Parts: sequence; C-alpha cells; structure tokens
Amino acid sequence: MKGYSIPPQLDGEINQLEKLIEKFKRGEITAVEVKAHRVPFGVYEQRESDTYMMRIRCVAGMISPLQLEKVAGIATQYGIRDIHITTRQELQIHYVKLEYLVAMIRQLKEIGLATRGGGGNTVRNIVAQEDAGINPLEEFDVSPYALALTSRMIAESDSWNLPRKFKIAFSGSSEDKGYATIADVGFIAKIKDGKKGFKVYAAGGLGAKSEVGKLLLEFIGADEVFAVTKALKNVFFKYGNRKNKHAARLRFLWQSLGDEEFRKKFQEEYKKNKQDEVLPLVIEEIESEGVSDKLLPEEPESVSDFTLWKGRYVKTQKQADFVSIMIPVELGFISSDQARKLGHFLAPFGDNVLRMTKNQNFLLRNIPKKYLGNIYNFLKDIFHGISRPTIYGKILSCAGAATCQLGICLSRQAAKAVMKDLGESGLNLDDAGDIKINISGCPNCCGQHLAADLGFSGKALRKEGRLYAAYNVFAGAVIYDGRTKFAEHVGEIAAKHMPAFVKDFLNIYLFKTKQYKNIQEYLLREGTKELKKLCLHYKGIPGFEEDKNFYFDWDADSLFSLAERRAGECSAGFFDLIQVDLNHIHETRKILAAEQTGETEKKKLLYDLIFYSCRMLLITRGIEPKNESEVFETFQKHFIDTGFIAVAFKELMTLALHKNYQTLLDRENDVSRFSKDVEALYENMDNSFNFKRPAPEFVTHESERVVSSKEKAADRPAVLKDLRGVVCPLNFVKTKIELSKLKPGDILEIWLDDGEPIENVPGSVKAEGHEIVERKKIGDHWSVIIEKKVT
Amino acid sequence: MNFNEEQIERYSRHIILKDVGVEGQEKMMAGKVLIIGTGGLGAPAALYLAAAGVGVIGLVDADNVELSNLQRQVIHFTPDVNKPKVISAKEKIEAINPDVKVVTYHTKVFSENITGIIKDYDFVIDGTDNFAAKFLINDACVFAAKPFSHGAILRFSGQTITYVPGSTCYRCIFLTPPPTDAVPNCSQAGILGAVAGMLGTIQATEALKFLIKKGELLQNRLLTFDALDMKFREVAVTRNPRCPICGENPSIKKLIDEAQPVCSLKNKNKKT
Repeated sequence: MKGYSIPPQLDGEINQLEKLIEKFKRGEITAVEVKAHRVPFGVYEQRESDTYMMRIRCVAGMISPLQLEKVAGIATQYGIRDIHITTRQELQIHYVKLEYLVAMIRQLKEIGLATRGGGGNTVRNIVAQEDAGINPLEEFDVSPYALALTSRMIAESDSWNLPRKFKIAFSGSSEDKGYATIADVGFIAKIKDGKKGFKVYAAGGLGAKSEVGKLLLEFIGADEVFAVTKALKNVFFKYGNRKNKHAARLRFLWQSLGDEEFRKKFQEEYKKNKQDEVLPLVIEEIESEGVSDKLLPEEPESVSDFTLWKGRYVKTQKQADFVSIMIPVELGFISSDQARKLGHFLAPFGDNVLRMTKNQNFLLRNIPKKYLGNIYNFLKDIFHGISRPTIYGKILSCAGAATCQLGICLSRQAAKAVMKDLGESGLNLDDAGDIKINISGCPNCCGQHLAADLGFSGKALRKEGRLYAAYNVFAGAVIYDGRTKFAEHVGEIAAKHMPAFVKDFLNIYLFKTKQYKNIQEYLLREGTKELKKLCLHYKGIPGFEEDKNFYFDWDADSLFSLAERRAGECSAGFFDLIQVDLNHIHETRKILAAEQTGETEKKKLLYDLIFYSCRMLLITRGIEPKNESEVFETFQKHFIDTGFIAVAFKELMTLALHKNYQTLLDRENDVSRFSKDVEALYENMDNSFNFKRPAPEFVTHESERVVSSKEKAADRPAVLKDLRGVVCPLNFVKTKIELSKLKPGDILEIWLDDGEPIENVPGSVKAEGHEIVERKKIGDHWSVIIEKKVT
Repeated sequence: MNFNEEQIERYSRHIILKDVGVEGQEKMMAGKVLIIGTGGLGAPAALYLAAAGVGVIGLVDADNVELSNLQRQVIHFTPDVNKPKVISAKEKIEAINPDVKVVTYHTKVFSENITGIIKDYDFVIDGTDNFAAKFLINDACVFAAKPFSHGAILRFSGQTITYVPGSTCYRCIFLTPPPTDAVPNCSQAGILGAVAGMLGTIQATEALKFLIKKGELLQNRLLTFDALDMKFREVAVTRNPRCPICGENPSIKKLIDEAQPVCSLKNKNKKT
C-alpha cells in the first residue's frame, strides 16, 4: 500500500526547525520564535514545561502494520509509554522532550510519515470515513482521493501559512460518515450518469462557533477535487482574517463576505485554476496484498466469548470473504507496547488492514474470515475488554481540564465515571449500541458534543455562592448529506449527576428501541422531550454542608474552581456566570427605577446593586470570593487599584462593607453610576478577559492613586498598573507613561504577561535608567516593581 | 499629560525612544512649525512632521500643483494637479494625522507679510526654490530671533544649516544672492526627486530635535552632500563680523525683497 508522498522540501524544513531549537537552547532566540515553527510541525507544548505533543499525519486514518510497529518503536526508544488516537484519525505522541523532537521527526519521515501540518494554521490531516473501501453502501472508495489530495496539498508552501487551520473530509455516501458536512471542505461521493464525482460542502466546522457546512457545488467530476480544494484554499489565503484567530476559520470568512460574495470569489479562483489547467489528482486504487500463505488459521480460545465478540465487533465487507473488526480503544489511549505488538501481529495480513476511526478506535479490514480465531486470540491477550458492548467504544471525550488550559470540567474523568456506572448497571447495552455519547470539557467542541446523540459540554454553575462543575446537555445531532443539524440544547446537569443521568436515559430508551429505527429517530420523535424532563429532574444539587461531593469534579481532590483556567476562546462558562450577576443588576435597576419601594427595601436594593456590580467581573480575574466582604475587598484591589474603575467609587465599597445603608440612600446616584461603569467595562471586555483602557468617564485621577507616604515607608508600591494583555511594545510605552507621572524615588508596580513581555519590558525600563527593585511571578503573570530615577 | 489610547499606540515608537519619551512627544504635540514652500523640500518635511504629531503645521505657498512637481513633491498626488499646493498638502496631513492642526497661507512671502506669518511659530523650515525667498527668510528670522532650517538642492546635491539666534546665519556665509543667471534653477538643471526627500527629511529632523530640545542642531555647521557618489561633508562656519544683517556694522536695517528667483546655490566663491 502506497501512502502519501512526502514533499522534498520537508528535509530543509526539518533542518530549519533543528537550527531554531539549537539556537533556542543556546538562548539566542525566544521560545515564541521556536513556537512559530514548531506548531505547524504538529508539535504542541504540554502543560508540563519542556514536554511536547506530536501529531502524525495519517490520511483517512490509514497506517500500515509496519508503520504502526515502527511508530511504537520510536516512541519506546524515547521513553514514551502511551500513544493516542485522535478524533481526526491521527496518531499522537505525548511527553516528547524538546531535544529528541527533530530526531523523532526524521525517523518518522524514514517510514513515510510526516508531522508537518499537525497543528497551526495549516492544511490538517485529511479525514475520510473509516470504512471507506469496504462499506457495502458507499458509492466508491474515497480514501485514494484523500491520499492523493494530501500529497498535493502538503507540497504547496501556502498550505503552511493560512489564516487558520483548514480541515478537509471525505464521505463515501450520503450517510456522511466522514463528517464532510461539518468540515472546512467536505466531499461526498456521488455517481452521476455513470461518472464518479462529489458533492461539495464548505465552511462548516465544530468549535467556538460551530457551523454546518454550506452546499457549495451540487456535483463535480472526480477529476476536479484538486481544483476545487485549491480554489477554496486560495480564497481563504487571500481573504481570511489573520488578525483575530478566534474569527478566522473559513466559516467566519463565509459569514463576513456573505454567501454571494464568497461564491463569487470562489468561482474566480476556480476559473483561474481551470485556465491554469491545474492537473487533476492521480488516483491509485488502494490494493490489498492478501494474507501470507504461511499463516495458519487458529481456533478461538473461548468459544462463547468469541461468539459474543464476533456479534459485536465483526462486520461483513462489500468484498465477500473478508470482514472488518473494530478494536475499542478506551478514550483513544493505547500503550506503545500494545501498538508495537498490534503492528507486528498484523504484518502478515498485508498493508491495507488498519485504520483509525473518528471515535478513537482501530478498525481492522480485509481480514479473511478463516483467521477470525487468530485475531480474537491475539486481541484478547493484548487489549482489555475487547468484547464489551460497543457503546464503550462510542463514548468520546476531549482531554478536558486535566491537561487542557481551556478546560472547565474534567471531561475524560466524567467519561470514565459514565463507563463504570454503565458496566455496573445491568442494562442491555447491546440494544443501545448505536448511541454516540460525546463529552467536551468546555463550550469549545473538541469533544464533538454538537455532533452527538447525547452530548455534554462543561460549564460552571453556582449554588449559594459556591461553584460546581456542570454540563450543558445536547441531543439529537444528525450528520447526513443535506440534513445535517447540530444537537440541540436540552438542559444542564451537575457533573456528578452525569452517570446517573446517562443510565436513566438509556433505561428509558431501551424500552422504546422496538418502536424506532434508531436512536436518531427516537430522539427526533420523543427523546429530546424526555431528556428535557430528565434534566429538570437532575437540576438541583445538595448544599455544600449537606454533601460536599458535588463541589468536587470527577476524580478531583480539590474543590471545583475556575481559578487555574486560562482565559481563552473557551470562556463561555465564565460568561454564563457573569450573565447571572448582570441579570441581577438589571432587575435591581428596574425595581429602583419604578420608585415604588419603601426606604428599607430601597437600602437593600442599593446594597445589592453594589454587591452584584462588584462580584460580576471577579471571575475574570480568577477570584471566587467566599463571602461578601471578600467581594468588596477583591474588587477594590483588581478593578479600582488597577485604574479600571474610578477611585471615587471606593467609598461605596466601604459603605457596603460596613452595611452603612443610611448613607447609601444619599448616594443613590453614585451607586447607579458605579454599576453602569462596571457594565460599560464589561462591554469593553474581549473574549480573553482583557479590558480596553477605561473610557474617559472612569479614568482615575492620577494623584488619587498614590497612597499615603506612611504606606510608602512600609515599602508598598505607590501605583499599580495592570499591563496584562497589553502586547509588546505597548506595555513598555504604557510603563513609560506611568513613570512620567511620577517623581524620582516613587515606586511603580506593573503586571506583565509571561513570555515576551517579562523578557523585554524590565530590560527596557532599566536601559532608561530606572531601577528594577523586584520581579516575581504571581500565578501566570509577573509583578515588576520599579523605582523611578532621575534620567 | 493626557494621551488617549489611540495616541499611545500611534506614538508608541517615539515614546519608547529614550531621548523622546513621554515628555518629548508632548513637546512635539505642543510644537508649531512653519514650512515655507510645499515643494520638493516642504513635502517630505510636512509628511514627517505630521506623522510625528506636531501640534500646528503652517504651510506657505502661492503655487498650484503641476504635473512636473509630482516627480519629487511627494505630498501631492496626481488628482491634485491644478489645486493650490497648500490645500493639497493640508488634505494629506489631515489624512495622516487628525491630531495636527494645519494653517495655510496661499501666498508668496514678501518683506511686508513674512514677519506676521512667522510670528506664531517655534521653528521655520525654508523649503523655497529661489534666492530672494531664502535671503528674506533668513533676514526675517534673524530680526525676529526665530530658529529656522535652511535647505537647498540641485541635481544630485544638497546643503542645509540650522539657524538659532546667536549662531551663524545664512548671510554670514552667502552675503548676497548670486548674479542673475549665474546658477541654473531646478527647471533648467533638474533634480533627482529622492535628493529632495533626503534634504527635506533632514530639515524635519532638525525641527523635531529643536522641539524636544535633544541632540546637537546643525548650527555653525553647513552640511553638504552629493548623492551621486553619496558623500556627506560638514563645513565648519562661524559668525561673520561683516555680515550685512548680524555683523558688527549691519547694513540691512529692515527687510528687503531681493531680485530674481533661482533655485539653490552652486557658487562656493560667494562663501566668505
């Protein structure tokens, strides 16, 4: 079996990466400069510093047994125990040390595998339905197209320099098992007048703002796949938004240009490609070599379990005499040792016997029936639970908060809890075997919850002032040519309720399986209604004193908190919480405006207005106050002392803190202005929780920010400037502006982001002649204390 | 000091500079510079001063834009042909930087009007193309104790000096204009457009240095260059006791309009 062709320039690019890493090690360049080259090579840094994750391009999930064995060997050689199958049918190696990176990339290249394009703003791994070529219902095998398109795409240098990632998918039939209708570019095989071709979808995708792909072309000849893809890539390259990576995917471009304009631009590029006579892909059908005749068929070691396994995992192919076999790999994790053994064992069956699936499992193919005993005996030895009900292999989860910086909930641990409970449930899971359960740890869609029958996405909820892990529940996705729709939101539940919730739902469904063709039909007719009811049933959780358990996420040994989460695009969980307080503010304002309240009630309302205004944005600074006084104190520290909100309002906090209601009555106007300023600040916040500089009405008076000389004697910083989220060199510019307001001998404290800012700003300040008194790391940012000198 | 967010970003590369910083930028923004002549020298000078955020820029020019100007007078664009140069320049300055206030004088400078025009400015840039104007500007600035930058160009060469009260003035070096027809003007001799840019940019730099009070101005030093072999030369000059305007016995007591317009100076024999 021939894989994709690795372009000749890869060697040079690997050499370049090697040089950069060496320079970095010698301290000549910064980590950021290495990152720019490393990420497009499919190499990401993990949470632990100096360990990396590497993605290996496996087109349509294809890998030969020999390649798998070698990959496992390379992993073992460098001390890596686990290999991971991704939802995009790739292999992923974790815990790689920087010093071994290039050596590993070179060794992979030797066996025809590349990591280039595993990450970054590149043409990513091209996926296809896992049973392409063997599915009896498909129009024709799409995997040769995925392969040939890959070879062509990865040879074009602009494929590595796109505005954002670019994902391509192939399906062999209207069933859209390759998810072509939710990809940046999706091809669905069609036969028209006896001619092979594709229906083309574009600008779809799962993520922060998921979109179903739009129908771009009803039918193209099979020889036009490259011309169409190239035209779409060109449109993306030329017009995509490179400035804001959160609004950069092709679907955002479609939205910003509008349907008509996008199609026009596509047609221009498409015509140009036709005029340039771009060569069609060279399609080579994937041949099977057949099984070595030296291999002798074996009898299964346990007949009853073999029968069970066969019923669950062995499927007939369109090629009579051959079968395909699913190997369920729990959450996609397989040890290097298992992988090596699997590759070695499969070698005699030929090259074309193995695919990775989007559910993170292995799918064996082209296995002659007479060898089923051999396969069973081998798998039984090497893998755990190979004959468990198939639902286990269908449970999908993203990495979640355990390792992902954006994660809110521990999704993988939740998935394991669900599996454990199902195992003990006594339910007839074989009847529920076609259910897809997908779990994302946050509103981003890495766990594909919007494409699930039953989907969950992590969020935080609050009870009596305490946060707990929870999930939004979605149901009823349909992925099918022309009918694709995302799962709809049916409610929310506590994370700790998830296993019971899933079990209850399956229990209800299992009574109905006879009435419906499949789970999708059930969900459409009555299932989502049932789920809504079930969500209501699971709505409440016990108070903290009654059962602390609910305030710990799955497998967590500390109370659930958002404090460690990084503010990324995945922040919708925070927005929910902010919205709750904002609603309180609006309601309170409305009641006050009606002017029908008595004095006592009014005092309380004014107090509430201050309280919610103060609490609303604390979450953005990672603060979860335990009581009311902490709300007022931390607000002062993070929003008034940093200059976001006027110092004049500080007094309100003092009044509220001491419950001095009477005086609040006299300050009604101030309270209202204050809450409006906070709201205005929130409106100016971006998705990364950075606030724009305050508008004039809440600029503080500089002199007021300087604390008394008594405090200064105690070596307290006089002025604090929060420059997190301010890029180089503007952070230095703003530091200079602050310094210019001070007298020699005054102290300025600045907060800087890690990375470039902390590496550059203090040096520049020093070069101006000022003194850096102290620099220390606080959480994920830095505090730098500067003494102004005469310059 | 009240930079808004946009200004902080716009002027960030100035503020970063140790010798400019917040204070220097504030001084630029409070500064007023008059540019006499919005041609080859005035155009680049005006663009850079506008970009730098100089508070008020005055523009003096009586001419309209001609097609032959566009080869070097980079502030004017093709659609501006036939438009008064001061209007064309004002439009560009405002487009570059809305912070800048532009005052236009659609006139030539004469002995009668020049004192009134230069009065309100901190610094004057001479971007004119004729001796009469150059001597008039010198005389007016000496009388008014107004700092200015002299500049002149021809073919591939240029010269410039900065006057501050008390330093060597233009007449100290060149007592009187050369005889009519002794030197060719630009329309006869030609000028490499980029050379105008080089010199105008030096003049803008001098104006900015003057505003922020940093560095050494080109005073008592005449800078000349020949761009063809790209050689720069600095000629030390001193106050001339026999200078007709700032010497020991000045003969010029009031402003006079010298005769005939000619661009630049070639005859070093006039130098004392």
